Amino acid sequence: MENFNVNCKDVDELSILYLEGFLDAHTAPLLESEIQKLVDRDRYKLIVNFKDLNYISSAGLGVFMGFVETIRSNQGDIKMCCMPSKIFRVFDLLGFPSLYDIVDGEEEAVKLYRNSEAESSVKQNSSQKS
Amino acid sequence: MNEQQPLKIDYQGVELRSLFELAQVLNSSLNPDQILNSCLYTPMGRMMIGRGMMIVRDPEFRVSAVKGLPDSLLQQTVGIHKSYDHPVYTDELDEQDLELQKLFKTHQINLMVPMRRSDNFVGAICFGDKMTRQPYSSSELEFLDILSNIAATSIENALMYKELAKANRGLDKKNQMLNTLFEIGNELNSTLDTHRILNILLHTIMGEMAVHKVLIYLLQDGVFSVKLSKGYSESSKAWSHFNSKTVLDALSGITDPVMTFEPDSPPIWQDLSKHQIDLVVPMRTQNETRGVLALGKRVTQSRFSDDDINFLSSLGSRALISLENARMFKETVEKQRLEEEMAIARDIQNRLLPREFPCYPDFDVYGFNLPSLMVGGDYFDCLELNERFFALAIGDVSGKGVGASLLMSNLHAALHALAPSQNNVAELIERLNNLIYAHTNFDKFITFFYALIDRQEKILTYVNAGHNFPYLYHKDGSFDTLETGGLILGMMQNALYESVTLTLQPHDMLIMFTDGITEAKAASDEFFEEERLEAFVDDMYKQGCSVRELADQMIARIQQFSQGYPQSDDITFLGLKLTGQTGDYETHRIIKARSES
Repeated sequence: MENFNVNCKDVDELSILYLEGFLDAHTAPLLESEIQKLVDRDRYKLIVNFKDLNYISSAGLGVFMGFVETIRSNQGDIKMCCMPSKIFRVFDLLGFPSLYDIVDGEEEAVKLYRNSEAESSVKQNSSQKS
Repeated sequence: MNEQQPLKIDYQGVELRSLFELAQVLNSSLNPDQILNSCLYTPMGRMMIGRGMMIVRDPEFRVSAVKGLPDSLLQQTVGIHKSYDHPVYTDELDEQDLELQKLFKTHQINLMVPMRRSDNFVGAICFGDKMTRQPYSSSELEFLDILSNIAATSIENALMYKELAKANRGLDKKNQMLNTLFEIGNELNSTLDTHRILNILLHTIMGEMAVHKVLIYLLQDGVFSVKLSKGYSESSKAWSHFNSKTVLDALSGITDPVMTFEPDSPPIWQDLSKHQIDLVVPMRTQNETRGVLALGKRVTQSRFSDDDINFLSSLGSRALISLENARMFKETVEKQRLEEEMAIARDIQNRLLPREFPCYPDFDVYGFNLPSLMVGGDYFDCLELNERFFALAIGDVSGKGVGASLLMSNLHAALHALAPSQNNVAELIERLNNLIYAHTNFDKFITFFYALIDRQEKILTYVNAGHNFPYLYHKDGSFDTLETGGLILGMMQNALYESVTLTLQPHDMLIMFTDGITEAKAASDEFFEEERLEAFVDDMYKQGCSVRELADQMIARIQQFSQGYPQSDDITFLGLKLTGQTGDYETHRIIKARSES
């Protein structure tokens, strides 16, 4: 059986998940429980780093599908970065790029969150003014 | 004229250079948009043309790029009926192409340059007037003709490449589905945990189909219900709809996949569609719907393709097999556990029946018990009460199996507690009856025969509480049946019993048995019956056999009679013979009992 590992790191309000190895039907429950732990802690702003992931199957993609609605309804998101091309190909084939922000580097993913925060604070300010 | 000559050469040089550049760009690109743009921009820049349009055959003629014209023209199909070979002015278009002429005039397109590749008419590059209002010169027309031929090749290549890429993507997608089915097959094979199987199924569907909402219905133990779901709260309106009888009935009855949102679909599916279920796919094995997968909208907004539906059907059937395996595994484990417990019960019961018999010099005692199920309700015993008295008992508890064996052990305990202090046989049985009555329902009772033997006086006192009559054989070949006593045990409180006392003669033999012997069945549906038993015992008795010999022969005789027909009831036998010898009755010899085997 191939190995799969998830490491999780909190950076301010963001949680970054580092996936490693083979994410398939066998190992998907591990990822599910890791994300569940984050949701239980009310941490909804996730970045998933795929740099060291060698393989992903539909069941792995299904785990993200299972959480993304809950996470977004709590003003969070799942942003993805550092995807090896063969992993991206699976996402692309199944039509997922339309659903998730997929960027090259972790920095960019962080920036996406910061920008949307800035935007919403601008909106807040303007709404306070009016 | 002389001054014009180098100018013309220069001009041709510029033309050639731009053609060369264009050819380079076109040959290095497989991006249709880039090719189309270059084909328009090069001449438009070169000749100062304000508007241009590319028409490409794919497989219809279609507007594929526009410059200086409204974008709304893009992708519009246009009819070109005549096969044009050379640049043609809008006014000169064939009369078959009046529609085209009208379109061109509306948008002030004056010139159409056909793109040809060998015999194929692959499209056209069309232009408005030059900004200079000058007509197109013959060398300009020649330039455009060459350009369009270079473009034709590149555009065809790009279109083929696009087609190939599309086909490749289709193949990749199928490959991905096959991979998923293969992987899921392996994974499902490696687990026997129902919940885990359903979870794998759920996540694979969500990932492969890009859906948030999934319901998995299963038919289990005759009940069709939602076993796992994602994306619906159990307190929602939708949830109660999904679990309503109408929906359950409709879903459990489907044999083919249903797209719920088709405009002509029946109201039941339209209702599901309103609760955001787009597709339901039956999970089938052996032509039977054993479950249903219900899927919500795809996040990609695309429709479910035939490939998708086939994939879901295969996945569903595959999961059903694993669920069935898991169920059977669980059943086997459960059965094994029950069998182990039955074996323990049987062991306990075996220990309650006599494992060995006293062998007095003047009395020969022996018996056996062959239970029909793992544990049974027949009882027999030999109680050595004191130096002078011993007792024999035989009984049959109503019913079979665990219940009967529990009552039998109750009888055993009561008898062993009461018998040593009670030489009045009738009173003993009365007390026994009241104990059994107090602890059983009306449908549980025991037929029972008890005999107390005085070794010194050779006197036997018995009570028969509804048991098969034992036979008492005498030396001259005649026999008595011991019938006196009372009601079966456990039927009536405070029932009275009558005992009978007999003096035993040398060679007298007492034969006690349960109805398992007389009701032993042959394949011909015949019972063994009393007649065969009497004839058999009669014959053996005349040969002067011991009780042990009679017992062994009896087993052989019954087996010969039933000829492998399964034994339906416990078979129990107990015998006593007065040997006729005299001697010291304190001497004990032990014979191992048959029931132990």
